[in-house]
Amino acid sequence: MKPINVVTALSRLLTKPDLLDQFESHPGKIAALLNVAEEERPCFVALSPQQIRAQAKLLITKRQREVYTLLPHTFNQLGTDVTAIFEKYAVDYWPNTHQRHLEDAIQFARYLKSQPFPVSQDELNHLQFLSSGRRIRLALVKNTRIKGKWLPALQLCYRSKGTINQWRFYLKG
Amino acid sequence: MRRLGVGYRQALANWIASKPPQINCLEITAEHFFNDTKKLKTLQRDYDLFVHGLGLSLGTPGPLDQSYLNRFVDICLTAQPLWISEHIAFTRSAEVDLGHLTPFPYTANALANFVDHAQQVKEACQKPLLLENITSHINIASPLSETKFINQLCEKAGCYLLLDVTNLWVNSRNHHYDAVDWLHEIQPEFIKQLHIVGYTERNGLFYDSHANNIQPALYTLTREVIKYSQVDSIIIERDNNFPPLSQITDELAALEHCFETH
Repeated sequence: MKPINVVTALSRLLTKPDLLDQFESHPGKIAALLNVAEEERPCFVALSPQQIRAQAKLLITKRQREVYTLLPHTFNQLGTDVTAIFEKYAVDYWPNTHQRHLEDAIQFARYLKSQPFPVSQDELNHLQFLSSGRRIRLALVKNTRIKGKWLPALQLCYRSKGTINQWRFYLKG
Repeated sequence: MRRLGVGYRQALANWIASKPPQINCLEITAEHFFNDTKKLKTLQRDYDLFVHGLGLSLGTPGPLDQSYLNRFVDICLTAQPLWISEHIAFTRSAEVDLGHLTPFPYTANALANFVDHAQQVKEACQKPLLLENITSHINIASPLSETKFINQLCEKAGCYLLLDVTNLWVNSRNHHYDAVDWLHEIQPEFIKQLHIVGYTERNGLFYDSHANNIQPALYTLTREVIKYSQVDSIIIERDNNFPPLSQITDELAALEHCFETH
């Protein structure tokens, strides 16, 4: 197996909780298992598992905070379980574009649907519109949160003069 | 000329468009404009600009992400900044994009890799490059100290330091060292620009959450830096929890005072 550099090895510890648990008990064994480059191995085995755990937690918390701003109603529907659900999702998926928060939010919403957990469909529609670059999108949403009530609505997303807007029209009161 | 400004954020856009007298420069984050550069032309007409990068990941071993660099160059061509800046960090490995500034061990290999990447970015953008110190919970035992690494990096790559006063203060508290001692280990001629924003404290740990008003300890450290080096500009780097504009203008006035007293 080709040796890996310490940046790759550290990234694995930050993104794989099981590996970090093993590293905490046997740092030298994990360095050998990953085949960390010989000249960088002393730096790797000297890493503090507690500090890495704190940093790993920060990575997920930061992502959750950003995704919350894009899916507030969805988050509210998940209630107190939201952090555990997000953590379970987040360790297996890492967005990799410059629109990482948008990508993360869309992927999280898809993950929720696949479980299935409740997802605010109009929020997902809006995010997919933001990501698509399309000029206009019209959708029928069975349940949308408008002024504290869940109602069916027609949702219109559009781009105009460099800004992105959306309208939601009640279908019944 | 000494410049004072803010990081361009949507929440401040209307205020910035009104050309307030308290600011004469702006820092724009390259990635925020990757999909739309129209706004940059207006900003460039009204202010001295600096282009700040978040995701070039100069600390990742191996070749730079050429398509990412090309987008960064496109922003520079439109913005025509006085200089560009990035972080002394990596954000992705060969396998995963962490999306967060992460430290790496300060080794001779890492220095050579970083110098090479910094020179490529300078060459591609044809602008001076400033490199910023980051904050992290991880304190890596390295052959080189952070300050030695920064001095050698600036010297070998022909770059400058964008000293984030808040990051320095936060690291000094979380990792228990003296921020002024750290400062005095940096060659003063490398320090060109400062970042500052209030820190957050939770459970005895400090964070650069970019969401608080600037605390007195940070002004004290800023004055130390200005006394020690030739700072050209200071940028307030607020990202969240925006206060009333009067708070921002008060902070700018306080920073102006830091400049004037030295």
